[in-house]
Amino acid sequence: MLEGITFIIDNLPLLLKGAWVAVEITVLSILLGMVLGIFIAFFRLYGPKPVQKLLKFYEWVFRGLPILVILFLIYFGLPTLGLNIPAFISVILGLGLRSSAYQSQIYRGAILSIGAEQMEAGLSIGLSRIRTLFFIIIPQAVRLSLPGFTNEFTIVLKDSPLAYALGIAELLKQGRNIIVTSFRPFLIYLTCAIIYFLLFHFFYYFFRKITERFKVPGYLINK
Amino acid sequence: MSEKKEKLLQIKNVKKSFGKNTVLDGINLDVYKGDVIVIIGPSGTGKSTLLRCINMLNPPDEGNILIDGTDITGKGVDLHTERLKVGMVFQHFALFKHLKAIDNVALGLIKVKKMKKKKAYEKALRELDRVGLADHKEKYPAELSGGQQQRVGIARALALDPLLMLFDEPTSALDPELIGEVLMVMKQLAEDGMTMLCVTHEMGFAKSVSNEIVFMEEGNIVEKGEPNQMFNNPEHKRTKSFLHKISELYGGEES
Amino acid sequence: MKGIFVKLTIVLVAVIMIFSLFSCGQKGKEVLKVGTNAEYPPFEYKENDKFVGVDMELAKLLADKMNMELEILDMDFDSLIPSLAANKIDIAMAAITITEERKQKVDFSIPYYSVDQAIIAPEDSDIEINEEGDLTEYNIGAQNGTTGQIHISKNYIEERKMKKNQLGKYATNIEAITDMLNGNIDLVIIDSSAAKGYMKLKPIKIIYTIKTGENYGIAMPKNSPLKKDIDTALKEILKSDKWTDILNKYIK
Repeated sequence: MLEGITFIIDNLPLLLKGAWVAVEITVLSILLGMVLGIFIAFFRLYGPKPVQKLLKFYEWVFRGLPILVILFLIYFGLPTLGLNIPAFISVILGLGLRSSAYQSQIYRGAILSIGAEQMEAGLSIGLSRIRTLFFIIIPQAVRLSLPGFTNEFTIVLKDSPLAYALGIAELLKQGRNIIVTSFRPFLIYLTCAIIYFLLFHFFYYFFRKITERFKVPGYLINK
Repeated sequence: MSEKKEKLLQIKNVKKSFGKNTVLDGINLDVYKGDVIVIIGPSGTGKSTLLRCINMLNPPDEGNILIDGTDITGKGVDLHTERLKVGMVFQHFALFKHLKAIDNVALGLIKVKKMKKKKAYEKALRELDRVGLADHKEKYPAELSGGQQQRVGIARALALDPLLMLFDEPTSALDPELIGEVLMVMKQLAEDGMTMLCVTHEMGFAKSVSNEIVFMEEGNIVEKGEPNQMFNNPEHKRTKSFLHKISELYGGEES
Repeated sequence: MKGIFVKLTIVLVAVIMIFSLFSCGQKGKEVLKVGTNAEYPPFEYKENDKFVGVDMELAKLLADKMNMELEILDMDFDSLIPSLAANKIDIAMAAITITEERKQKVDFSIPYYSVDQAIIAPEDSDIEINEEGDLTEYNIGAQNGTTGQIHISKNYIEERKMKKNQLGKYATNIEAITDMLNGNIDLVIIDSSAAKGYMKLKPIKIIYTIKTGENYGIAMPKNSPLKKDIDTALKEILKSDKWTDILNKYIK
């Protein structure tokens, strides 16, 4: 028992290195998903009809494909078109593009649930459309999106081990590297699971704190 | 009575359709300074649409709207500046839910009228006081009753010193016991000389406060006239039957 | 307002990321990109986050001889051949056995090591294999994609001498051996060199050796411009003392 614990402690630095890579992957993918998601939400709501249709198709594609397929298409498939993208970037692109399809839904839903009257009220006091978006719609949309965003973040975190398929040395891969020389799969996988679990809860708690800080009395709860 | 009153609003032959549905079929109306006009009619006859044409939230398909002489339906008009002349109060209050009451009122002053924060908040407080809610300035909309929210909405519109105020069924979404406080504010506004255009079912208010009642049906103004005449001796049968129905439903005198 | 700053940062991050996508330039010496599956001691595995093993040291020697920088890319065994085809790696060194089937998809260097297939069982097992045919009675596990797995598949399952579910496919040898030690399967078929390595770590024994005389080769995309240089360098290295040292270090 004790020996098992010292074994884990000896290997912890390597595993934590992998955990850091997992966090990097998650954060970068989420950020990409966020930037794209906002643009897509915006254009699906206010853009010209053909653009709306195109984006609807985009969402449909990326939500319907398994992540591994997306990663392999980007990493192994694109070279046939002349685009050779390194493994790490492929992971970020794959997870990020897919996340953008889900995040755009979150933001669109938030903006739609805010209602046209808020925009009308903003216009009626002399604000332009864009300024109303900025001062009225977006602050509310952010608050409404936080729960969905938190959820999406944890989903991407739990999907990050798929980077292993492209050889990225994230947590799970580091675990396997240790297993093949130490031959103790259970202990290592258990430790990996615990680390993922802790990461999950850390971020969940972190976003909960943010949500609380932005909370407006009565508003979020009722919605 | 005053002699030559200022013509603040001219609605000339305004038409609007949504798809195949003609909602406004040639509306003509003049509004003078100090007028308190109540627009009544069956649901879906375009009353709200008409109000939204006046501040160009839903621009008309045809026709002109002149505010204080300026044709806001024309080209090259700075809508944002023109909209400041027209205050609007919404059926569902439309308060900015993420802002406190005082911030709701001050927002337009700071961002649009570019007032300094200190002066803006002083004025916002005065307007809130005017509607009787100075004590509630730090509250968020979700913490206020419907009647209080609507009064904040009125204060928000008033803060920009508009030439005229539009009320789009201001009490329709309120519980009965909260209607009174809003109507009181509106009555006081009218007595202070504000030019008001109200779409409402509150007949008591219409009878005692307004100086003109406009009856709309199917996109047209059927009849308009002084309250006394409209209620007791309307020209058109439809006017009579509608007013009769409404008076039964919504009751007579206001509190 | 705070909002603007946050937005700008986000846009900036996105721009930087897209930028780094396209500016993956290389400077200095040419890089030899070697693909491997570092889950296979003693040929390739990781110790303290560094690539070690017979193949890894050989790769270093090759890169030096060819005056190139060495870059090792770790991936799934099954991803090696697609990666060669997609130009992600220049060569693959992962204890890859040269087979006719694989030759159809990739080119190989000259062979550099030979192994047989070992059949291993738990140390306390009573199972006796006197001739290869005896295997058909048992449940055997193998790492997916290896010649051991293919051997059983081709010669027994396809010949209907064994049932499909008698052959268990695993992502790594470790998982196969663990399952065997847990009693879920009887035997594991694995390269003899790896078997010797695992015997040091776990209570297993080799109960039979199928003499296949397989050869490991370095895999390359078809018609690779590097083949000539690799073969030349390899020939030299295999004759040298350095190679003997490596073998002694990892394979006693």
